[in-house]
Amino acid sequence: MNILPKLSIALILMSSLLLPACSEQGADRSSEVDKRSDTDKNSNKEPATLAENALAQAWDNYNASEQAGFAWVNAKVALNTATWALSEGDFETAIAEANQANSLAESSLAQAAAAQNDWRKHFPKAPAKASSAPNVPEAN
Amino acid sequence: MKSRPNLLITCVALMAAAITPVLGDTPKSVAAPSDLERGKAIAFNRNKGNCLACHAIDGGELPGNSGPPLLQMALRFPDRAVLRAQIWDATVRNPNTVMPPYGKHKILNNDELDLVVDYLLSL
Amino acid sequence: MFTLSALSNLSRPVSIIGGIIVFSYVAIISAPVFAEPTTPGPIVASPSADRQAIRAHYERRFPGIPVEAHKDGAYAIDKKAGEQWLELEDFPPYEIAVDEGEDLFNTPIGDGTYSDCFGDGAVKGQYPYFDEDRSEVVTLELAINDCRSKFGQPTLDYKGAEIVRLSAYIAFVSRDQIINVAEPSSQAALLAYNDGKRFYSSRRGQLNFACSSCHVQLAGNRLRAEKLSASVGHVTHFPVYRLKWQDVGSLHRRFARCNQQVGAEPFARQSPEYRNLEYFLTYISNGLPLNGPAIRK
Repeated sequence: MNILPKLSIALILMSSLLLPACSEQGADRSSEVDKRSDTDKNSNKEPATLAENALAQAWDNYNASEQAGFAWVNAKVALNTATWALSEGDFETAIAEANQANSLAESSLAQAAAAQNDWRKHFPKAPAKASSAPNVPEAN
Repeated sequence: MKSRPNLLITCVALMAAAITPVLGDTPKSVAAPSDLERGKAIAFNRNKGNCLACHAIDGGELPGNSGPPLLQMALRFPDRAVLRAQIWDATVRNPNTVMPPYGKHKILNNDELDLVVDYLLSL
Repeated sequence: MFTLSALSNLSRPVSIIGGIIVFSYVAIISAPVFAEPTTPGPIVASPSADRQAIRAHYERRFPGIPVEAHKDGAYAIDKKAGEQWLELEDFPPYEIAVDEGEDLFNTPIGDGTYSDCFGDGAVKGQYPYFDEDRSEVVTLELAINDCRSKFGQPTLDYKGAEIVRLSAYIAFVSRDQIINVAEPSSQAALLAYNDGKRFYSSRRGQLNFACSSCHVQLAGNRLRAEKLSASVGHVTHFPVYRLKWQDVGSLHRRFARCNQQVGAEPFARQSPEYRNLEYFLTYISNGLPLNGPAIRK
């Protein structure tokens, strides 16, 4: 049993040497290229413009979620923080909060889409004899 | 080109072999005590994990009873990834569960989720 | 009682047994709560079948507790909390609101009075209903503002104190009326009803809860120390005096708070969404007596 710790240290060392090879293999080369070209594109823009664009996109998704009736409180909170940060000239915070708001709004839109069918599972089923009941229209 | 998959398998196998004895020695959790405290704080925080709303946890006051008590967690979840996935989005395993999808809905971020998982595995 | 600290120092074989107990608990609560119907039925059930289904659900979940008892919410299923609650009723904190509401009710509005619209005020049992001409759900609050408009008076703010006091008085003099919402029959009424049912059953907010997650699926369980009440008693006692609010508040205020608690943006008081929800929720509560205003935590 004494050999176990030594063995594991040796194995950790070996695998850490191999780690770069592993990660290189796993990496998707095309996405790296995309990332680089994104950075090039973005570096030509002012931080204020980037923040404004991020905020506009977040608002679009938030408005869509509100339209669907599934808006989230924390998405709105992040939007408000981003708007405030933008007005203060804190573009880094504005972008981070706008991205957070956008990602929450996207999740709420996914929730709205799932609810389209799933809501029926969350109410007790009528007794089987109700099959003679008339078909009832549904709101969309 | 042919050697590449073999290299990947070797990497994974070696790393797994390296980790196994460490896990074998400490069946509960390998996180540092201060991290466990942080994980516990997130789990108990009503605006974060709020686990006590539904689960009994040793040391937690006025727990709810809508979920199972959180005990013997390392035994129930020998695979850490399964527990993490359960907290990330429990509806994957059981579409009817009422447990909030902590990761999927960004109620906890990745770091907070890992701290909570480590804390739960120490129970 | 089953205490956790007692379990923390157990030997391994006993721990395994504990694990098995926990696993079986998980298996039980993971089982589908609502069994699929054995024969293929229509995609959407009729309102009367819904009402039957929800009553059967609570009868199964609370053996020995008549469905009508849920008019007292969580106190119908939490005896200890119910005793404390009854003590509060000795000096009901909503009494001032009812008195102020009575004064408002008897104050002329332009050339008319509220009595011209609501007689002696014992009319709460008539609301909500689906108005076929307007093709929308009319609630008591909506009717109060309609009455004011009829006599050329400005409508009241649905968030304001005046309308909740008027409805507290009307609720008080309407006590013991039996909820009896007409079965939705026209296409438009069914649309409104199903919209409410759908709202009640849709997971929403960051925490991903439907109203029914807590009040149907988990009804009777504890969230922290609070027992979760049954849907069928939710509309009987509004406006309600909440200790948390230190005031009386409307049903739609409570809806908004529930939405916010699961991280969802609330809708406006008297919005079509909340009126349809009230319509659905009141219909499935048919047969329960009105007992507002009441006290809640």
